[in-house]
Amino acid sequence: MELVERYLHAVGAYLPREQAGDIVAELKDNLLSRIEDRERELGRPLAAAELEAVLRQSGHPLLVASRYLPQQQLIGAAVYPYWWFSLRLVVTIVALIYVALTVITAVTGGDPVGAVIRGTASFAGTVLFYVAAVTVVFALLERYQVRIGLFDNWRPAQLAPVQDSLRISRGESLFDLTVSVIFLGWWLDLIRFPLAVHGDVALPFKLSAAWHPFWWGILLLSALDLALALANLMKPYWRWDRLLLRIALNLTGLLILHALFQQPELVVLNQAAELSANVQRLVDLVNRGVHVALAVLALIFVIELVQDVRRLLTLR
Amino acid sequence: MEPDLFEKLRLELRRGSLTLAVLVALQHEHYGYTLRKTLSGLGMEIDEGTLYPLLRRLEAQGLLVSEWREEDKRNKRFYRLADGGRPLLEQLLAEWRALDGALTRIHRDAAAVATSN
Repeated sequence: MELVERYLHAVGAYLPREQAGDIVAELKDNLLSRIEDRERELGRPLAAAELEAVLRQSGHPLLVASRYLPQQQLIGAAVYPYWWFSLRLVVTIVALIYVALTVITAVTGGDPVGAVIRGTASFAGTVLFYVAAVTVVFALLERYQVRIGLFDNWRPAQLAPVQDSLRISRGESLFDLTVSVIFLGWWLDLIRFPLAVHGDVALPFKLSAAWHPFWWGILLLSALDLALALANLMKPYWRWDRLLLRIALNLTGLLILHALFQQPELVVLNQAAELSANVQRLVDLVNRGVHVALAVLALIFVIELVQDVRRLLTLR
Repeated sequence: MEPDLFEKLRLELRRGSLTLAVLVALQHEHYGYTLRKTLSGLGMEIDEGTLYPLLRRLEAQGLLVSEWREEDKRNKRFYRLADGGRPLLEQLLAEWRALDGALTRIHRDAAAVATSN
């Protein structure tokens, strides 16, 4: 019976001290009753292997003890939806911050591959920390049975309307149209901004020669963008041909942006004046600003690409 | 179909009825081992890893009372339904009968619709 004692001792080791004696005594009676019953059936004492089989059938000491403990789960069914919602929210926020920071570092740092690797590694560590922190908070709420009434006072009328992902809002098309017209006007020198495309003595800055190889490409992309916005305004529903066109436009746009990112000087002073240290600093600052603006534009292109691919899959 | 689906659903179905079976059986005094054998003999299998923690939980909830007594030269813990647990048992039994009746009617209704089609 030494094996039974060892088994019961092992169960007791996992139980709270104040309950262990009582629970182990009851388990002992149950085990001895089972052994006696089996011995009566066989008409002889149990062999070591048979005794071991009885104990194995009772379960591992840790599992047997855990059934007596008050908390059977880290996050229970009542807390789970809140935990999952919070986890997704936190991971999304952290991911967005990291994507933005990585893009800015990749564009302004001069080592885009290194920036992406460092950003990904750092994101993995940070996100693990936040996942653990959120889980600990909700495990404590579960442990102390705190009722979360966050969603008790909801009203059906406040739910978001059902959105058709293939419908194009008129506002969106009008916005695209306006931006395309203004951009084309500027690109063709019809509208003068503080930043000149071809150079103008009245304006302090102009685009550098780095843009010249892309002038026709950007003009074509903008013209097609304008045509797409017009078509979307008249037929406000995505079709595969217009989706494919926008995917192609965004991919080409990303290629051009990538080529432009490699150029340190995208904006230069309009007048070939002698550069004082202060003016040079200003030019550098403006260039950094243009790089960040292009990075934001690239991010918008990527988001649109993902949305369009999903829409294409919906259409299939 | 999931291979263990039947077993999963069967366990779900039984979970609530085990508590009721234990409460009904403990209208007469039992210790854990004989209670398990009695339930098993009547067709309600319950493993000891479920039964003993359940007994303690029901006692902590005031539905059962227990006492340690010597029998066959060994100390055993005897359980029975607490006086305060009786009204709740009656409520649970009424609920069980209502569920059983509803399920029978739903099954009969579905069978009738299937026949008429």
